[in-house]
Amino acid sequence: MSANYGYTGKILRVNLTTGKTWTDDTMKYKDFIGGEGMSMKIMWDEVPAGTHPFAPENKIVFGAGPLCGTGVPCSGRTNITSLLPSNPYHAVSSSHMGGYFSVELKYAGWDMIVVEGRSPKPVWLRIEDDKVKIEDGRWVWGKGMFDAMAMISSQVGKEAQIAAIGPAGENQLNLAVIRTGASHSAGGHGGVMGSKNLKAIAVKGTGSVKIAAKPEEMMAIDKYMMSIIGANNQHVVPRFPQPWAEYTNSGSRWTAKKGLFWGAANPPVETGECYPEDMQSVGLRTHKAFQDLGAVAEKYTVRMGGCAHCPIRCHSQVRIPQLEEKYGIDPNVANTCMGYSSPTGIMFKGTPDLPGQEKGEQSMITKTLGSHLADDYGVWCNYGQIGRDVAWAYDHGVFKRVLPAEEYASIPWDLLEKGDPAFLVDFYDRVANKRGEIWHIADGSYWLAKRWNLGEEYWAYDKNKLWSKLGFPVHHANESQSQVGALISCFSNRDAQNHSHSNFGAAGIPIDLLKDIAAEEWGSRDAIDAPKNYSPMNASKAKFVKWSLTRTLLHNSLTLCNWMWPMATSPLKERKYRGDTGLEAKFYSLVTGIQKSKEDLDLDAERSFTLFRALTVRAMGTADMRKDHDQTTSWVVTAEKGKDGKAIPQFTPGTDRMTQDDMELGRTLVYKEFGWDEKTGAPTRARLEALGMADVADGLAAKGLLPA
Amino acid sequence: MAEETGLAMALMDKIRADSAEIRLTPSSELQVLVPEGADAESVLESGSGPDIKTMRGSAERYYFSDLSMTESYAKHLYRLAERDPVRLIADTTRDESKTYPRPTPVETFLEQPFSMARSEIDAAIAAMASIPEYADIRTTSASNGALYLYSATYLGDAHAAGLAEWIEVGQKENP
Amino acid sequence: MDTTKSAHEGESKRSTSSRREFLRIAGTGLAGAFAAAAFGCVSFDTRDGRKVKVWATSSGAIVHDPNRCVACRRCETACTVRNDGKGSAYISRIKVSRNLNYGIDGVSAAYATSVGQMGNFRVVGETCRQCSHPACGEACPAGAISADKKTGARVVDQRKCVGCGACERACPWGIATVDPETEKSTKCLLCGGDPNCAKNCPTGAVRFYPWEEAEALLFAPSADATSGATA
Repeated sequence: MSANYGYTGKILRVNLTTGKTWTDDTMKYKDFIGGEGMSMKIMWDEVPAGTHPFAPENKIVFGAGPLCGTGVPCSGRTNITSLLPSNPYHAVSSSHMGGYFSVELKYAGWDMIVVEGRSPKPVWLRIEDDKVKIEDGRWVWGKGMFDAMAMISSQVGKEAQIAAIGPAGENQLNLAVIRTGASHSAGGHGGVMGSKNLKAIAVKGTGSVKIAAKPEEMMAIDKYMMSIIGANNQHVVPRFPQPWAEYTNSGSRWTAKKGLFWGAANPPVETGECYPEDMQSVGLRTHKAFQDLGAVAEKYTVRMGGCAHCPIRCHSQVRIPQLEEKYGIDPNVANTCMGYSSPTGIMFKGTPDLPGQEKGEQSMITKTLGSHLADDYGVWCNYGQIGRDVAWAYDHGVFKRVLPAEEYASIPWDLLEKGDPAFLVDFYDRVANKRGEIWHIADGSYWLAKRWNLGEEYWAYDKNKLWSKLGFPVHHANESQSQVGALISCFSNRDAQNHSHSNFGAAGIPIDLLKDIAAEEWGSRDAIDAPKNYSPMNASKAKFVKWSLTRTLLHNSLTLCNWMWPMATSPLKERKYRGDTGLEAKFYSLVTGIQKSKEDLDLDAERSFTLFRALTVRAMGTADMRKDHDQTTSWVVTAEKGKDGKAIPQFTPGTDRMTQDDMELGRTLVYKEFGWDEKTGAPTRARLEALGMADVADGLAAKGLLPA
Repeated sequence: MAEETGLAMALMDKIRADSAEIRLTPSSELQVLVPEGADAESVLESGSGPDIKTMRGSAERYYFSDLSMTESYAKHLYRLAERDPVRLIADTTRDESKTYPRPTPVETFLEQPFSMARSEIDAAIAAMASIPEYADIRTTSASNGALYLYSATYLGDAHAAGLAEWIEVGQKENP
Repeated sequence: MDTTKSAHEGESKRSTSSRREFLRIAGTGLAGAFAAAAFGCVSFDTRDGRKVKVWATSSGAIVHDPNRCVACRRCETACTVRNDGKGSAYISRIKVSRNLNYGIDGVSAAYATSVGQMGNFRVVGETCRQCSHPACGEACPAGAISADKKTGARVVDQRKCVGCGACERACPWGIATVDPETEKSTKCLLCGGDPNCAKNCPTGAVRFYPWEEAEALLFAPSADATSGATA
């Protein structure tokens, strides 16, 4: 074991079948950086294709990276990698959560945890520095997530950070989360923990993450980074006009303004103007309750929350007495983005305000009630798809067709019809506890469509927003940076969760400025298009795609938050709104003492991404990724109709739709950027060997999965 | 010469002090600071700091220091000072349609620094329809009913409609 | 290991931590000794014949506002990166992590409405009070803790510290902490007068106050809600 900077040097190995725990050396995986990259390597080496996600042979890897725990801005995330139950081929995929878990893990002396096997009875894992113990979990099994965390904390101590599953994970739903802290969920792998009979992992650490650089160097780059950082999603202009601001954007999450408060703080805290040079108001820039729950939420807002070592607070923490009064749940709710909005997707008939309610109040109650229930049960929303699936099944008579009559009659559809959020109380209970037939809504779209025979029109309907027949929806796809977003989504095994491109496009500065920056990064102003004013595919867009895919994997490996990083833009006029895309490498070099340029790190991330691609080839048993993996549903490549009912031709202003030919060209150009086979999109032996992965090439060759 | 410089300094001090309080300085407020027979605008024209900027209004000039506010913010204040809500809405919309480019949600004008009443905004938009000079300003609604304005000089109808739908509905469904 | 001093254990020690309280016990005649102790600390006999140390007053102290804090813990790494060359929560001289989820008192059956991120969201950080009569310094058998000549902060001389943990056990607020990796005590040294935790707080929840203000915020009977001491 070598002493390391950034890395703790140790991976915790746990076999729940045998009850054995042991230590592995992190540095043997160092070419894969950390977190997601290293996890890919472990999955390649140790989990054979054809393994079921819920089989004991599957492994689940909780990974932190070398920057986690050092205080680098936005470095608090945890990467989780395993076989993904909702994917038709159970291909390897990652889920991610924020909070404080990975930081505590590092301070306890571990870079990652690899769990395999299946315990004969429910257990939880206790980690206190180098002391590891598998504890009896029968007394917390079946408990909601909030209670389970409190019960385990009562044993380990209040300092413990805990990652847990709720009933949905225990019951091995495909759509189940692993959660930590008040509101941080990783969607997709809850059932894997459940299948191992592992309720929770509790960590407490008294150690540290050592930094190679001198404190002054680290403090100086941190200060520089803090001058470049914007608001949530690296939006760099404010939403509302401010005397200091040259630009504004109505979609910006820099929502602070004079007169906007955390109204339920005591005394209320005003966000104020938050001018860019004021480092003491960076955490006030994003009023996330105002953003996610609407203006009505201002007076219920206690504070903002978020992750360890992140100055941008993208979770809101609200106190809504109505939740206790009407639904008997705790009034204190925290969440963010889709966690709040997915319950309104389920309440798809709308949630009109009742007499006496303020504007938007019923929607706020729906969002907070639903997110609290989903968080306690640990149900994943498949990035909002669960609501659209409910809507489709209801509106197309599917529920009536597939649910037994008695079950159908027992569901309070009247509550759904009138927009009463009490429907959610019933809904999440049925789903998480696998009651009747309706819970299969949490199988995920691929399995659901098969089981309930939803037909081709289900996939083709544009408002269902299904991106791929692999069963995942749009997550910053064609609507976000034209072919760039569209192609990014094609390389995924679940919703793409890529913000490298979407944050850039949504930074808030004018398109001309963005194009200038794009030319510097990807060689041409044509790398990006203005929203809904697209041009056909070109080589610089393919460079942008590769950059986005590899940077996101890099962030999930370091571990940095890809909801904030990369820093491609900044709020600073004197920098012409340029950010610094070399910051990851600067931080990596200073923290670890291993000197790497931005190109070096990008190459490391490319290695990991190519390995991810090889894992998908192996899982699917075909090298023809173009045909079998990378295709979209049909609506994506069909012209949409304008308000006048006429089709808006692709590549004219007003539409974000793609064409099949152009997307095929896009695939070819991206394959080329990665050095993969341009016909099939599979990694070639030459490229794998150039990236130092001859063993992976051999593995694919043995199964006949290398392209000709 | 020295006297003139001193005078210009005094005027600039006044402008900078006003700008620090986020207000424009109309030339009428500067005129009272200069001796009889002198002209404040001429004094500033013959020599002022690089931070002092001016905009010509219908009746007088407005000054500001860009040390305390950006030109784009000063433009908002200028349009407010001119007290012509129809022109304010049209010119702000044109700027956004041209610069970003994007349509402008009417909610924009409810916010600071505009702080207009909804009725005032609606009246202005209605008035625009009959004034030829604003023929380029059009409206489009997103599917949730939110109203957006755009200038047809810079944005096509389908483009503006598509963008309004994305900003208002799509963006919120894709957080 | 429980990293927090229990409130009960701390209660009796806390009463002597403020300057005002100390003067009451030691006798006002000692006031002059404070002037004498402009630097470091000097020993003095009380009128009832006890030998006590008199400490130069600190230039100020850091105060944490649980109402503004967003639980990012950037203060903790700002502290340890600057002073220890590593990221750590346990040895941070400002303590937020340990109270983060369930408050100072820890988890209870009523956690959902109690202090902490898992309850009412209140985040209570604890800071070194730079006590007028610091229990840590009094307890140190190696004489390793003294008032810094420039800032008056009660600082640990790493060369003298033997890592015995007497300061950790003595501190009524659970601030002084022996680093398990170096076996040296860590306690707030005010970063030479420009505390790095305060500079790096993104909401202005951590601030350095001159002594008079800090003392009022930290030691006044009504101050606990602000200081987080018993919140």
